[in-house]
Amino acid sequence: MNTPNELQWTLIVLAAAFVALLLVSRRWATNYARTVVLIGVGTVMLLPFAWLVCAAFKDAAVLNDYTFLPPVDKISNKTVNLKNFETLLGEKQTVQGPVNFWRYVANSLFLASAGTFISLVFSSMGGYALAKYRFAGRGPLITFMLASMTIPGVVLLAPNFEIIWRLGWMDTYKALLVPGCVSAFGIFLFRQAIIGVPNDLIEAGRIDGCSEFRIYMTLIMPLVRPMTGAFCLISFLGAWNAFLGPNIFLQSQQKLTLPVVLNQYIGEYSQQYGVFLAGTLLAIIPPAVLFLSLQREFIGGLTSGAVKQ
Amino acid sequence: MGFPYGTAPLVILLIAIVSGAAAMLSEATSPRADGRPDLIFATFSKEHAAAYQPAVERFELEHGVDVQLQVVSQRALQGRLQSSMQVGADVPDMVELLDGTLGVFAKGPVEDVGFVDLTEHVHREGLYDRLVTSRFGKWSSRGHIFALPHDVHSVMLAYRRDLVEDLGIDVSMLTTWDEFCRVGREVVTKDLTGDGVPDRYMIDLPADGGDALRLLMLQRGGAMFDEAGNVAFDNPAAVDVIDWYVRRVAGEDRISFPAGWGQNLAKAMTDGLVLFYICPDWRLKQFESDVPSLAGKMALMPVPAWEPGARRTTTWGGTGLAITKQCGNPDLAWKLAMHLYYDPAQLGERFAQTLILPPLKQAWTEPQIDAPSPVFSGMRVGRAYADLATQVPEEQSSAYMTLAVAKLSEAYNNALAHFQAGGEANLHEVARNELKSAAGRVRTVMERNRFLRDGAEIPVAAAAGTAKGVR
Repeated sequence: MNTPNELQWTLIVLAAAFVALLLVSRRWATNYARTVVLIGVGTVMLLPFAWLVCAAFKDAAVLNDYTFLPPVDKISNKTVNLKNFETLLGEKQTVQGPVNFWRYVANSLFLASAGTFISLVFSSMGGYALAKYRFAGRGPLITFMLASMTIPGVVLLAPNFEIIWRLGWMDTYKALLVPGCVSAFGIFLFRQAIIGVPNDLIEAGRIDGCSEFRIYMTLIMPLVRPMTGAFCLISFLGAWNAFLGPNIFLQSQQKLTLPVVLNQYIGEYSQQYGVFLAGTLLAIIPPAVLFLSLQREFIGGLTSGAVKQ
Repeated sequence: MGFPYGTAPLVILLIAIVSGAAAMLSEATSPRADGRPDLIFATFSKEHAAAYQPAVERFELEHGVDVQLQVVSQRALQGRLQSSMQVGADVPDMVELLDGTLGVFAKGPVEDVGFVDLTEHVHREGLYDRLVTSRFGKWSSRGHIFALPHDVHSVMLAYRRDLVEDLGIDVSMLTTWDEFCRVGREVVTKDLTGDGVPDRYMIDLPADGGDALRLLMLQRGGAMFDEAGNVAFDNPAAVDVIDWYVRRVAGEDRISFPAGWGQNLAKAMTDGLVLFYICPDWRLKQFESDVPSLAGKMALMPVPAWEPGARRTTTWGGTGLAITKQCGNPDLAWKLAMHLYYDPAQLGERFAQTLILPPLKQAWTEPQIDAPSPVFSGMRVGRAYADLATQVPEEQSSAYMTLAVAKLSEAYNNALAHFQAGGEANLHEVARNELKSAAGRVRTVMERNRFLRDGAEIPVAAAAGTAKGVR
């Protein structure tokens, strides 16, 4: 019989501890088992992230030699260093002149945040109209809008390209921001949230002399705050990770976004995995900071409506 | 009092304002190019761009022109080019195309292909004879050459010299696949730890066939398409290769392991899990950069032949340089193409930088071709690839290559499933039938394209004769 390996030994020890605790107290054993399982699952989920962090700091010469970091006795400036970040953050000469990595971060932040905000404004307006106004063709319009969500974006690439080109918007941010002004998903999300707002409130506003726009701004939007937070998160992450659109419509190196630039480190003939992973690590930070600092608001939106009150 | 619509939209609005201002400021302060350059040349490879940069600068000085070299990822380059050509939008003057992509642009009438027909230029410059002729097949459609070959991409086997020598294997004896497999079975593929799973394999072959199956077929003379552009992958050579391949990746005679790419591949190489790797010249730089710890422990050998004395190489991949029809100054573009691709003075240095052998035979006398490689145990890698270059089989481009490759893969996987379920009984028959059926489906799709049907593909060699006559 083969000798157990490290993993098997760990499982044996954990199982033995469970049995020992079971003999003492059933409650302790249950808590122990729960904790072990959660730690195990958490570890499995965090392993890829740990791998990413290690790879970003490993020298290219040893990148493929160790799954995570080198053994302690082999850790030195030659094996673990900041070279990948230095390469990534260093100024690069392009046909449009020198470009700095932070320019790509600013580009990505601008496109993701401006796109999210614009889409928030127009999608919520659309959602409000479809939720609270009765007009001819409203039903077919909603059906059409929902049906449009089933069409993959790639299918519309060629016609979109032609429109953008005819408008003279190639290699401009308008090519990405304007078509993304309104999202069918966003309209649907806000329509569902706004349907729950009592009509009496809107009528009261009208009686008090509010304009339709003021009702939308001062009555409706504050009441759907949780949904606004959730929409911002979903929309921001989508725009932050967008690859196809920026890759097709933006051409000047200095206008590119992070995902497109990072992809350039994976070439046809050689790959700078270390630099690519260092960039990926940095690219995770802005959305992570945003999510962690605003998580209560985001989660509030995602769970709103889950319980009938 | 807080923002009435929540903190999230407020933060996002502030980010938009600040990042927008930063981006605008950066754009306003960065230097601007003055108007459109005389030529825009787009490539998908930053290694190519880096190698071209000095030559482009010399060209600019010599001709008093401004050339813009753009690096665009392959996916974006092909997508933009396809969309732009469809809508008549602005495209680069010159583009480098990746192997297999010409067919995408040559699906319609030959006169509607968005690239300049270079056939006459090629013959006028005598390139057809000065280059490895077989390389024009990849860049031609219906007898018209639409791009210039950048490379030969002959294939060798890279191997762990240290481990192979430790096992007492003499690679000079591995001249045929039969011998290679025998050694693989008897000497290399072993369970060293006694857990019932082999810990060392002879060769890296993807279990799903991947590109390896196709390039082994090519070596055996089984092309995907014949010279006239007809589907040909249901030929007897392809049946034999599938039969052989299936037995190498499954069953008792298995000698291969799918090492994959990137870190998996590097790990398999450093651990010595697999000893031999299919290695076209473009992979040399990958091995150098991804597994630097193996420097001096690797070496190269010609691919074993299918029959004694037969072809010892095949080909994998390729790049072609095309001039778009929208190019305002095609003569200048042609001059730049000749300068970059076929000026022997540039090519030796470029080989040293990229380790990709140029197809211009004259360039193989450059001293860099004979330089010993410290990574590959002091071997003269350039000479090794050059010695095999003229044996490289011809591969035809086709608008239906992607479909054909997918169908070939389907046929192979069905044959593999048959083998895994029922053993080797009728394997050859099953492979033949599967290939026949797969090729039939591609033929059916191709039949629908009247442009190909009406203007049947003309072999490049035949068109060469015509063009020479015109000249």
